[in-house]
This record gives sequence, C-alpha cells and structure tokens, in this order.
Amino acid sequence: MSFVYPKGARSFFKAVERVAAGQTHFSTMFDSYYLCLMVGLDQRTLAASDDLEKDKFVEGYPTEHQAHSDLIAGLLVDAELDRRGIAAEDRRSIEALMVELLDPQSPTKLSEEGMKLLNRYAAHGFEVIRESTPPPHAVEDFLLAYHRLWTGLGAVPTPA
Amino acid sequence: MEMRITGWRYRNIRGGLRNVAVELGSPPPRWALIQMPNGTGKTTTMTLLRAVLTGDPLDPETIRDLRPTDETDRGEFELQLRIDDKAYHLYLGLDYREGKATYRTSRAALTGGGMEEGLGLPAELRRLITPRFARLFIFDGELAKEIRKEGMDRAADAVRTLYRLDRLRDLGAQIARLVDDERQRAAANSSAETPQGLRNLQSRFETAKRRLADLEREAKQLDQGNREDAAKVQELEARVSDRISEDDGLRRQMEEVTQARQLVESQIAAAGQELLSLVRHPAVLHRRVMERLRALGGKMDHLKLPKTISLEFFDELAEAELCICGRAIGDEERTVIRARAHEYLAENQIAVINAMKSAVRYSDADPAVLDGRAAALAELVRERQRLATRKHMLEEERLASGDAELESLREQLNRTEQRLRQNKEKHELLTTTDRGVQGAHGLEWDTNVALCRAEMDRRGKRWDGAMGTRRFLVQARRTDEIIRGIEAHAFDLLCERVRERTNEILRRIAPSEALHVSRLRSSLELASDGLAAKGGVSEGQSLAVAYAFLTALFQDAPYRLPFVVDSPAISLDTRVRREVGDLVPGLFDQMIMFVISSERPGFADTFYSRDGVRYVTLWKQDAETTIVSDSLEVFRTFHDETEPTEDAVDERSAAGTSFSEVIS
Repeated sequence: MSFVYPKGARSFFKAVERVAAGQTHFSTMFDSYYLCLMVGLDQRTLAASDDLEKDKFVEGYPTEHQAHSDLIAGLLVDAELDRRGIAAEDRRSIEALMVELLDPQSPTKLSEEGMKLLNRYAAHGFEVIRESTPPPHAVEDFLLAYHRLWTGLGAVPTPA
Repeated sequence: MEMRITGWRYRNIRGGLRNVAVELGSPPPRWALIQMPNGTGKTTTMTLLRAVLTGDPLDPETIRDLRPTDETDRGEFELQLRIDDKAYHLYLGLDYREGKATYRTSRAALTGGGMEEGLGLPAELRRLITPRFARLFIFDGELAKEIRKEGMDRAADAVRTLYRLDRLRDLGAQIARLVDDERQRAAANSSAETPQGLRNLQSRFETAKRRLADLEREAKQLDQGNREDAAKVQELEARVSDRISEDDGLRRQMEEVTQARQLVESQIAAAGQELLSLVRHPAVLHRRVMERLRALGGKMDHLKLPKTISLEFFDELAEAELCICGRAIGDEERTVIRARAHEYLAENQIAVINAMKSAVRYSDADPAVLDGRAAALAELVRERQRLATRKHMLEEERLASGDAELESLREQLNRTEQRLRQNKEKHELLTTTDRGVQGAHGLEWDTNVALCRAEMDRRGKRWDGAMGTRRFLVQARRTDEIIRGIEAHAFDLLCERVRERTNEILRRIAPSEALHVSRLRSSLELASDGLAAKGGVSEGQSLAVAYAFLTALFQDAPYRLPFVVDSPAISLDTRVRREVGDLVPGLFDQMIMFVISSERPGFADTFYSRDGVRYVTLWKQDAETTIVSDSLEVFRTFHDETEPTEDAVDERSAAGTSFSEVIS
C-alpha cells in the first residue's frame, strides 16, 4: 500500500497540475495530496476506503517532502491516539499503536495499516477542501484559500 | 546513423536565386557561416530545407510565393547529403502553375546513379524526420524564445522517435492485429453453433468501438480547437492593447499598466513558489499543529517511549533455558513470551520513533512566517486584479470615444473567450474519469470516453467469452499493458536523463546564472533563485536553455544530425552574443548558421580564430543575379545593402577563391 489519491481530487486539481511555465506550480501530485492530508489529520476524521482511487499514484515521498516524513508519521500517530481515545498515560496502548502504524522497511516508514489510514485522512481532507473552495485555476489562489481554510478550521475536541 | 549536409542548389526561386549553388565540400566542415542579407532568401532556404527533408507536400500558396517571376513555370531546390558516407541528392521540384511540389532522389546505391520518384532517404530517417521534428534541427533563432514553452510538446515526440520508443508502439499495434485475427478465427469456428447470438455480441462490441473512436476524435478536435482559441485570445488581447496604444493619450498609461502587470505576475510566481515551499513543512501550517507535535514529543518523553526493551530481547529470551530471574523456561512460557514479544517494538522501529521524536523536538517552524508571506501574496493578487480593472477601464475609455475597430476586436475577444470556456467544459465532460462529475452530469457510455472504453471492454469480454477466446485476449491485454508500462517508464527515464544533461550543460555554459530546468512536462520549467523576481528569463538565458536542451536531446540518440540555425544571435546584445558565440560551436558535430552582417560583431567574429570553418556570403547583384563567395575577407567586410569593398573582392581573387555565381 502506497500513497493513494482521493477520488475526485484529480479533476479538482486538474487546472493547477498543468500550468504554464513561469507560474507557481505543484512539483508533483504529492503536493496536493499532502495539503489534503494535513487537513484530514488536523480534523481527526477518516474518509471511507471507497473514497480512494483504486491504484497508488506514488510509492514513496518525493524529494521535496522527504525531510518531513518523520513529522508526518508523528502527526498520524497523534491523530490516531486522539481518534481512538487512547489516554496519555496508557503507555502500553501507545506503544502497541506505534507497532501497528510503523514499519521501518517501508519507503514511507509506515506500515500497510499506517498507509491505509494516512490515505483515508487525505481523502477526508480533500472533502473538507472541496466543500470550502471551488476547483482552483491558479496555485497561488489555491494556496491563499488553503491558508484561509486553516485560519477558519476549528480544533476537533479530543475525546475524554 | 550520421547525416551531413554537403551543399545545396537553387534553381528559379524567388530572391534572385536563379541558379545558385552553395558547396560545403565532402566531408563538410564542422562549422559553416552563411551570410545572406535580409531579402535574399534565408527564410526561404530554411523552408526549403525542411520541406526537402520531410517530403512536406507544401500548400499551393507557399509554392507560388517562391515563384521568381510570372513567366517562370518551374523551380527546383536540390539538397546534397552524406548519410553514413553515401551520397544522397534530394530534389524538390516546384510547379508554379499548378502549385504542386514533387520529390525525387538520386543516390549512390541506384544503378547508374539514376533518379527515383519520392524521397529516397533510408526508412529510419524517413520515419524520424517529420515536419515537427525537422524544426528541432533546422532551427529558427526566434524559436529559441518559444522552446521553453512548447519545446517539450515537440520534444516528447522527438524523444519517442529519436530513442526508438515508437517501436514499442508498433508491438502494441501488432498485438491488436493478432487479437482481431483471433476473433475472426474464433467467430468462424463458432458460427455453426450460435451464429445469430455471436453476431449480436459482435455488433454490440463494434458499436461501442466505433462510438469510442468518435468520442476520442471529438475530444482531440476540441482540444486542438481550444489550443487555437487560447492562442487567439492572447493575440486578440495583444491587438486590443496595440489599438489602445494608438491613442497618444492612452499609450503611456497602457504601457505602464502592461509593465506593472508583467512585474506583478513575476512577483506572484516567486511569492507563490515560496509559499508552497513553506507549507510543505507541516508544523508551519497552524500553531495547533506545532503544539500537537510538541505535546506528542513531551508525552513520549514522559512515558519514556520508546522502551529500551525490544522485541528482539524477548525473542532471545524465548530461546534461553532460564529466565533472567533464574527460573526455568518451559514450552508453555516460551510460547507466551514469543506471542507477547510482538507487542514490543523492534529495534529498527525504535530507531524510527527516535527519529520521529527528534524531528518533533527540533521542529522550529514558525506559523507566523506563513501568515506574513500569505498576506504579501494576497496583496500581490489584489494588485493584479486592480491592474486588470485599470486595463479594462482604459479600454472602456477608448471605446467611449467611438473606436469601431476596438469594439470589433473586443467583440471577437469576448466571443472567442466564451467559445473557449464552453469548449473546455465540453472537453472536460467528454474526457473526465471522475465518477462524481460523470454522475452529476448524467454522462453515459455514449457521451464519455472513459465510460465508453469501459463499456467496450465489457461488451468485448462477453463476445470473447462466447467465442472461447477469453484467455487469449486476457493475455494479449496484459501483454499490451506491460508494453505500455515499459514505454511510459522508458519515456520518463529518458526525459529525466535529458533534463539532467540539460542542467549539466547549463552549469557548464552559464555557471553564473544558476539556471536549472526543474521538470520537463508540457514545457521546460525553470527554477532559478530570484529568476521571477528579476522579471523572468532574459533572451540570452532563453537561448542558452534552448541550445542546452537540444544538445542534451540529441546527445545520446542513435542519429547524428546536422544543426542548421537561422539568425542565432540577431536580437542579442554584444555581451550575450559573445556568450552564445562561445557556447554554440561545441554543441553539434555539424552546424550551418545563417547570419546577417549585423551578427558578425560578438558572434560570427568569435569563429575567426577557429580552424575548420567555412564562410560563405550570398548577395544580390541585381534582381536576377546572386553572387556567392566563399572568401573570409568578403565575409568580414560585407555590409547589407552594399557589395563588398573592391579591395576585398580583389583580395578574394588574389587568394584564389572564386565566385561560384551563375548568372541566369
């Protein structure tokens, strides 16, 4: 299991994936995937597996994102701790969760289960983005809308 | 395969080219500088070279434009080549009355050196040199400016053909033929059993296949039309600006607005790219993300996670006779220890968590920086909008003064923009693979390419199943997919190699510019620190990128082709010319450069100290006569609109060079 794009995201981001030279551009499809993922992780909400495309679009992190792969793994662990309601003192469950989500052998350092969850978080993030902004025509407009979205997003309450 | 140009000859062609030969010799020199004043046929020569190499039929208007006088019925252009050391002469016959072009070839292999109809180039070259491909090596200096924008569209075809990826496509076509044969065979064998049922299935499949072909054709036409309309919109916008600029009072304001828009566009591009780089750091997105990461790090520290006891410790313990407390470990204990060991992290997982902890702990991103940059970008975007409004107001002002021409241009622009929007929407609906969009617009198999392909496959499977050919066809499809995968992968690798080589060459030829091609997609995209902030890429940089790209493209190809360029330095200032003059000679094995006298300083004169250069000058003595000289002195002293000095002509005679002009 590698990175899988949310269904509908290709057509949503179509215009900004093919921009003319000299304009701001996403380096790879991973840029848009990543922006969706961050929103999904922040909202602690998973989309359904059906909301993902059938096949992976990339195996591992592209160069521009490699440096932050550990932080993304950390954010996934953090989101799952919240979503599953694991108490901060529950050392055993926290360690078990890390065993479940991490795989040092994989190119992303995440296990198959970890990747499945990551992709579902990205798919939920895409739903939030799609509801808040129309399909972008220019990357700069999208980045500004994305920044505004973050400003307006409320923190999801942590389960007691 | 190596191709070299050894000369060419014009007969009865506009521009005084009644009977004129340019001989480069065999083997030709590495560099030939052909000096032709404006109006003596440089552009014509480039057109003729491309035509004679590709067998382009040429439209009647182009042919008639080459006619020297109304009384002349026929003309001819002959190109002399050496291909792998064999002589080839290609002839382009021009019938001015009928407006027709015909091609003939004479080559060493023909018995008695006779003529054959058509272009007799080796099959590989015939397939390689299409009209689009020819523009990459029979090259306009002007095109260098555009190659960054559209180069890769052409280069994508060129990479496929140059590196023979098209042969993989041929394999795919062969598989399709085998599939058809197999279906025909199976249909013939099964006809006795359920002929009507089979015919129905076949007919349903063929209907979907035809519909798919129609939809794909429609999508292609729409795409082509949209490209043309997008270009037309740009052209009309430029004409509207030009028209407004005709009003003296508005011209200066319009120029200011245009310049300000260009500046703000480049600033937006730079600021946008910077913002994108920033948001790639998760912790910069929002204070909440940063706080969560820090809390996670604190939580792990507090719980002393990861534990130092690893899965491996328990695996080893399960192998031991005694526990560390000294008690014996029996089979039952061993099983439990092994089972529970998997609740502990493996040593390499611990390393991953430590890396994660360290990243979390040392993450020093500042969300406030993102807020600041976003605010700056938003202001630039607003400025762009203000300038667009200002431009619109200037247009309105001019319209209000009753400019019918401007009104007509605006109407055309509005109509074209509207058509472009509608056709983009049509194209999107025709080609979308997004199920949400398909559902929302009620698209069916007969109105959407992806749905039609799926329907054709479904109907094909039913037909194949009925004929008992399913297994064969599944294998054929799988093989076809593998071949497509290989082709796509090889194409990506080759593009990447061309990109890397282009950057290597750019580092060598323009080390101070920090020019870097960041990716090859539908265009060559440049990354360079501060490039956009400086107002984009200069003409010299564009040329450097274009030449580096073309060199990289041809470098490892199995074909060695000559490089012919028109006006390589015409619009460059002297400093950039000298850079181009230093750069160009090392790039290709044979270069033919058409220049005018104003390109000598800074460019042509950088060749004077080199060996192995041929200098040819052509000029019109009168309407009917063109003189050709291969004297360096004539080349150096020639000035457009004038003949060379008498001294130079005398020196030419003394040096034993000769005019090869033939007066009609």
